[in-house]
Amino acid sequence: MKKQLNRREFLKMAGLFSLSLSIPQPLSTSILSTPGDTVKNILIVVFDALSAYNMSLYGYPRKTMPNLDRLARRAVVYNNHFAGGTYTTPGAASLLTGTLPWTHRAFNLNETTEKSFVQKNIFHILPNHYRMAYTHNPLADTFLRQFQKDIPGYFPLEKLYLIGNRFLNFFFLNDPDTAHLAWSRMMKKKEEGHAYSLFLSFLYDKYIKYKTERIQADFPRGLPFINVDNYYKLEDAIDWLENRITNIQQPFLGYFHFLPPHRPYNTRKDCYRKFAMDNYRPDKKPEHIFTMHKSQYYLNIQRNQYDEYILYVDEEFNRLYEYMDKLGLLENTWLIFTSDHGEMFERGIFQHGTPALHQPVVRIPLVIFEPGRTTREDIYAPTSAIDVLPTLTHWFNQPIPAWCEGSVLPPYSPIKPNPNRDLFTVEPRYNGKYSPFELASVMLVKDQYKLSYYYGYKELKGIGDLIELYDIQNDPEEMINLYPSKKDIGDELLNIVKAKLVEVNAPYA
Amino acid sequence: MATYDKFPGYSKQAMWSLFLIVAFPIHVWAFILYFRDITWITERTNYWNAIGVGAYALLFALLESIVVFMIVFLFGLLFPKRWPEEKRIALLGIFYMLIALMAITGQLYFLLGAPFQEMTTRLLAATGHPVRALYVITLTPIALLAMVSVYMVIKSPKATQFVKKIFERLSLLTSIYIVFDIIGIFIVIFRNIQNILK
Repeated sequence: MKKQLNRREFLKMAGLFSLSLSIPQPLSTSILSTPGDTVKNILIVVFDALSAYNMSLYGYPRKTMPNLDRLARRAVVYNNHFAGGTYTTPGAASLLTGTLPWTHRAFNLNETTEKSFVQKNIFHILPNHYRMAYTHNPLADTFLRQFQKDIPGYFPLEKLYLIGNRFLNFFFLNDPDTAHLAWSRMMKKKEEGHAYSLFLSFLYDKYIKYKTERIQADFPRGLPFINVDNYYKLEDAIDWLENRITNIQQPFLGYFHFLPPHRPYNTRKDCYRKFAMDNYRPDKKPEHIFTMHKSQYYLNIQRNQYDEYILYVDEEFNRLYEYMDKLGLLENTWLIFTSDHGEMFERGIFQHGTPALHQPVVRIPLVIFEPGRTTREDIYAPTSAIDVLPTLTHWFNQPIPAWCEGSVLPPYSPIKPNPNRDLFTVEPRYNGKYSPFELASVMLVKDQYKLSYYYGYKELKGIGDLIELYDIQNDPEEMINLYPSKKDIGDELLNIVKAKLVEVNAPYA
Repeated sequence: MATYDKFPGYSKQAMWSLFLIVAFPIHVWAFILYFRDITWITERTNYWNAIGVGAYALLFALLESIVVFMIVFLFGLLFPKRWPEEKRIALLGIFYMLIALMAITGQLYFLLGAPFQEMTTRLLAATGHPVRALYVITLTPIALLAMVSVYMVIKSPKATQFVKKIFERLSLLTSIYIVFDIIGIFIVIFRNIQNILK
């Protein structure tokens, strides 16, 4: 029989109820969540175009990430972690689907993945988590929109843009890249001084200046932006993220993909010119066949600015970390710090998206802050962005999906990592989406060697395929191409690459 | 019975002519710059996206033409109604074309990458007010040109007819651009629907 409440009990309960209302939201959600593997949160924070090469955490001579260096004392640090591709579309798709570009087929600019991946991605495999996602990057947003059915907490691009182009995002949501490109050519005058529009570009220029002039002072090189006029501040994004993770139901899975340190390297004033006079001069490296003919002087200036932008990322990530630590959220959250691809300032090549597969553009950071961890663990075995998805399934006691090409990351894998694993990065940007690869760059890392195989490019006309072999353990700067001297090893790896290409091309032949 | 086929002082035919005059430099400029870009846009992705950028550019050019036309039309309401319609259109057209010419020159300066000669810079600096001097140098010939043209149109019916004939020819060309605009709109719609169906 149901017990009736007497007056005294009722008053006691009413008092407790009113007290419960005064408990701050973050504490109340933490208390409601029972600790344990099945209810832990996952927070994936991606910083676009962050190269492991330029991070002090991985031995870069400049102190670009002093805070992360300190925070990593409580984390698992992956020292040989590779992206799926060399720019956002293939790189982010590999991270989100646990497959390589030859499988997910997102490698043309702003392309979606192959249709079946709507049900084969990190958001779909963890249905019991509250899934939320945001990105500054329109290319990554293409995937979030594609997987939106599994992301109840999806936020559109303009959410964190200071002057979001709502007009374009509203009317041309389904053709964003081309619409934004046309808009930028139509309206953008600021750098080139000319635009398709004769009159409105002038007015638009004035409008943008008016809207941003108050914040400009904090950013001596100008406000960070993407696609001409989508200005943003990382600190706004971090503030917003802090608010989100404390006010939503747990357990959650969050994917937050922020643009810094993607170009333009418009760092905040406290990081501005920090490395301008430090006399650091990177090794001069020979020009690559895919050189963009950028002078080393130019590349060094860009590198300085990029490094200063990484400092800004470090400051803001530290702020997020401290906030989570203070609230106790790190006790029940797997915090993953990574990137989608790297950035290059050498061999005459600038930025990313290049066919060249040298370390700065393919080697990315991966740092996992495990709940309760108090010591640092360094992993030197080669790992890939496609390993993140199976690791998530492993943490939550789910089987690794059959379609997934990655492996559970050490030290979480119940089996010892295979030192002879074939680890690939693929750059087939100019192939047809559903065509066999006729023009591509494929990288294979196996043991201490890295083979890069380039074929089909017009730059190689009359030369034939280009094959490079490096001993990345003893020659991390990739100064000596060993292929001519160690042809046997090179050919062995090349045969693996070619066999793999035959296999992945077969369905499209 | 009152008829509504005339806006204050302008027939539909006159307004259409004015719109075509307005659209002409906007479209020409957009086309010139688009054709400069087409190669790298194609290399960036593919031909279809390059066509897409062109389609959006035409759509935006059409919208810009409509906005600018409305401003020019409002300005036209200031002219005395006793002037013949064709004279008012000719005057509006001349004013507009001069402003368009200024806008093109301003952008052309950057497009051609023409920095000031050292001597010019020194001369400007010597005036003590380089910006003001620059304004005087650029605006004086334009103002003179405007005054001469306006004077001729007001005083000479022949000049009015001459301007009218030129505008008629330009309008014919602009009509072709408008057809391209419509094709552009269809391409934009198709691209957006196509991406939904993907």
